[in-house]
Amino acid sequence: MNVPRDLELDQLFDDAELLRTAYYLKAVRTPEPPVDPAFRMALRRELMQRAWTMSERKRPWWRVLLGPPALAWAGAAAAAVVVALVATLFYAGPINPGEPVRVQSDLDNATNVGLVQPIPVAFDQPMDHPSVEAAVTIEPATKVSYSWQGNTLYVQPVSGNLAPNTQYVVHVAPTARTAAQKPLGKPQTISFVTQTPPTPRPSPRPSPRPTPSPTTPQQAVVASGLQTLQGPASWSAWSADSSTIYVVAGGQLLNVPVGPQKTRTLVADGVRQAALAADGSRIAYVRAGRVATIGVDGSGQADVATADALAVGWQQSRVLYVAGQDLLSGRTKLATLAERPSSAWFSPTGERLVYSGAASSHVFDLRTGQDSVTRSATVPLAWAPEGRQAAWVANGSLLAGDPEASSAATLAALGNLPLASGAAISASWSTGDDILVAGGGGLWTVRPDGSGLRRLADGEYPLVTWAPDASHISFARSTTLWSGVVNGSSLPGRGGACEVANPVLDGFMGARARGDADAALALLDENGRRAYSGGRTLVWRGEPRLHRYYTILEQPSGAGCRYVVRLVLSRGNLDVNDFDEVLLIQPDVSGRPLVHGSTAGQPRLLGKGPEVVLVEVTDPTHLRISFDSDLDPAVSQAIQVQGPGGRLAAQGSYSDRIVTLTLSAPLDPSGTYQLLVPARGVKDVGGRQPQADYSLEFSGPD
Amino acid sequence: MSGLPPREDESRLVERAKQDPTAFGELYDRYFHQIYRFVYSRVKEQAGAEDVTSEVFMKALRGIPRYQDTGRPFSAWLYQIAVNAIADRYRSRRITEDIDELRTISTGEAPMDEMAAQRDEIRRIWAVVETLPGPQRTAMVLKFQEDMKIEDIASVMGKTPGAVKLLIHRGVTRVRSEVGRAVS
Repeated sequence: MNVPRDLELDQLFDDAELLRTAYYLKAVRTPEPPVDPAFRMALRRELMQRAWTMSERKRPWWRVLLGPPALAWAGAAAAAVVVALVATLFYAGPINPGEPVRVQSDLDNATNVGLVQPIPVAFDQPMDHPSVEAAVTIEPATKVSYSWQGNTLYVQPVSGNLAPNTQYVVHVAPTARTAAQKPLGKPQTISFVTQTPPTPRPSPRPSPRPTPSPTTPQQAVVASGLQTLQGPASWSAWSADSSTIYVVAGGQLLNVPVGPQKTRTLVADGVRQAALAADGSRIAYVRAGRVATIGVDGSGQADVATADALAVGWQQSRVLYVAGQDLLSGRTKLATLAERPSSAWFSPTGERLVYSGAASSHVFDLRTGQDSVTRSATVPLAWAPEGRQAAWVANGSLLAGDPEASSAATLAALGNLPLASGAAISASWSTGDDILVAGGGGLWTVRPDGSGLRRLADGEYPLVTWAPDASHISFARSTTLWSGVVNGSSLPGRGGACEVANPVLDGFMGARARGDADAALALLDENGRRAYSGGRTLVWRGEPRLHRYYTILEQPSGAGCRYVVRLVLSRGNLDVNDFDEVLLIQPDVSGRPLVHGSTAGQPRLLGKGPEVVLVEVTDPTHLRISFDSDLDPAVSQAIQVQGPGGRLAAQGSYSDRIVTLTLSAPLDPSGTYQLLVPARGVKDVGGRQPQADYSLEFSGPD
Repeated sequence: MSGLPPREDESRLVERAKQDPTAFGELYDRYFHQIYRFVYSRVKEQAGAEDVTSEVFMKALRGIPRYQDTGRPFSAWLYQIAVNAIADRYRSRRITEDIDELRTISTGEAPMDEMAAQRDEIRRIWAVVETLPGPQRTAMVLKFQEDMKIEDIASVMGKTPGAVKLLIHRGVTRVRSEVGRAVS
């Protein structure tokens, strides 16, 4: 080896063998450690903030005093000093001479925050982890887990997702201590508002024909070819905004926009495995014995490790992979698996790994390090977006549930689908909890509890994948990537009347949020103006003000669209109360859509208990009611649906803040129904109940 | 020492940071990788390395107004803080667990690529280094991985140059006896 002379070594070692060993040590290098660029940048930011504070303190005293702000505050400061002195003498209490701990979060005061991400809470110095974790509380009541990266605490909802349309407030009590055991001193608060999911999240509406029914693919699925592929596709994923499909085919990693933009080749060849990061910004992939990442726009290619990985995934910003019998992140081995896997799949959140070895199938939990052997051979087809449930094939049946749990719902016996013998099956789990299953000449949809199994179409739909807003599916047939909708226009959730009315709703509510009364009035017809003339508030002046609004329910109604809109009023940055308005938007005589009707519900104080944040009539026999808080599962038995003839028979199930009601009989498209959420039947994990019963009128779906 | 900026340049930068802490960012940019690499080589796990590296630079920022240029590289001062921070970290932990973990990471893995044989050899050698007593390990890493001069290592470790030479000599002798054939 060619190593420069080191005189110190030459002098230190007389023995030639030892000298050779010393030079050998100098020549061989351990691998470069994994560096998280996010950590490097975050630390630099923290340092610079602290440095800025220090430099402020270093300003000459005469400059500080003579500066205009100092003069302006001089009197107040003098008074404060006197008060502090008196208080000190009076109470003889200790004065904390240290500087306060700075706490911040990238999410603080943010709006439209994505639902799949942890809440970072950054401290400007090393903290005592147990005392900080004990000092953190979160509103609305949410079960969370904690992890640390440097001085940043990541608060992760156990369910995997944040609730939509919700203002989260994270409190850090003053009992939190630094690593040097200095108390935080004063409470800190971080607040942000989560985004609205695609509203409402649609599910495929089945063909009215009896199932299974032979239909031609051309009739059942309206699809267009997006891209010719160099070979069979092995992986695909949609961007979070449903505008782009990422696909691995023939070794190429492609970025294929659904719109008119051109396809981009991200990696030209050799790609075997790929995974999209939860924040949608990067793709990890395996190529030529290396694990690497690349931005979804093709920028910033970076090597992660030299490893011929069997599977690759993401956990927050970290790339995970399986090589040999090891589970690794960067160059760090996280665990040795119970047996060498022949196949492996990471959950979308990177908290679980399902793998199969020669002896059995396993679920490895990355949070606990626990390795569980599954009851039967498990071949996951699709993970639920929250990353805990999956759909898989075992013992001739299609199952769904928690792969680690002993029970799972049987979605279908494979023989009943019917799948051609040995046919490859693909599946996709939508954010609206619908599972698409494709294989052996058909396309089916089914709910995770096994209900609603329906044949949607004939034909081959390999690698079928829901777009996140469930408006489209993609699939790779032969060497073409397709995008389409099922049964023509049946997949998109918004009906034609609502599509026309939505811009009016946005314009009307946006004007009210801006306090622009003229613009709001311009979108009201005569009837609408009358609705706001009797003391109803159109726009708010001063505080509280209209901070935000979101749609709870949206349904076509006659020639227009009926909305239940939640208006949230705030003081400062804190949401204080809300109420619902029912708005009817329909065309006037000239055909122009305007707000025709409006009624307002009772205001409620926020932060007092769980709230309904979304209601979806997903199909004639299913309703989904989303809450902002983690709840006692008994809620599923409390929610009722009232029809013209009284209470409808329904079975409820609860999972991750969502109650799914399965009705015994389908809703009548022309019928009007009332959803009732009794306060006494709902309790969050903190034991609090809603302030009042909640009711919402809705109609049966078309 | 390879890769370091010229001393005059470094001195100017340090002086500027002493007067104006916001200039510390440039020092951070220059030395982050070295310090992180060194810390990682001792801690062997990413989250821990991040914790300690944060602590090192926070302490350095707080302490830079009092930093005295003794003619040693500025990095020696950072390494000194790092050595102390790592020692603090393990004072409150069971060191045996740490060593076991290091062994798990460093040995016995299946080869992953065509460079497996060479990497395996490097792992074996550095696995032996990991089993050395703490001060020997630190001296070996600073000398052979970080290319530091013995006098600078002495400054970092708070020992005399003679003591550091002894640590390195004993460390190399041990490596030689454990993996001699590979080295030959």
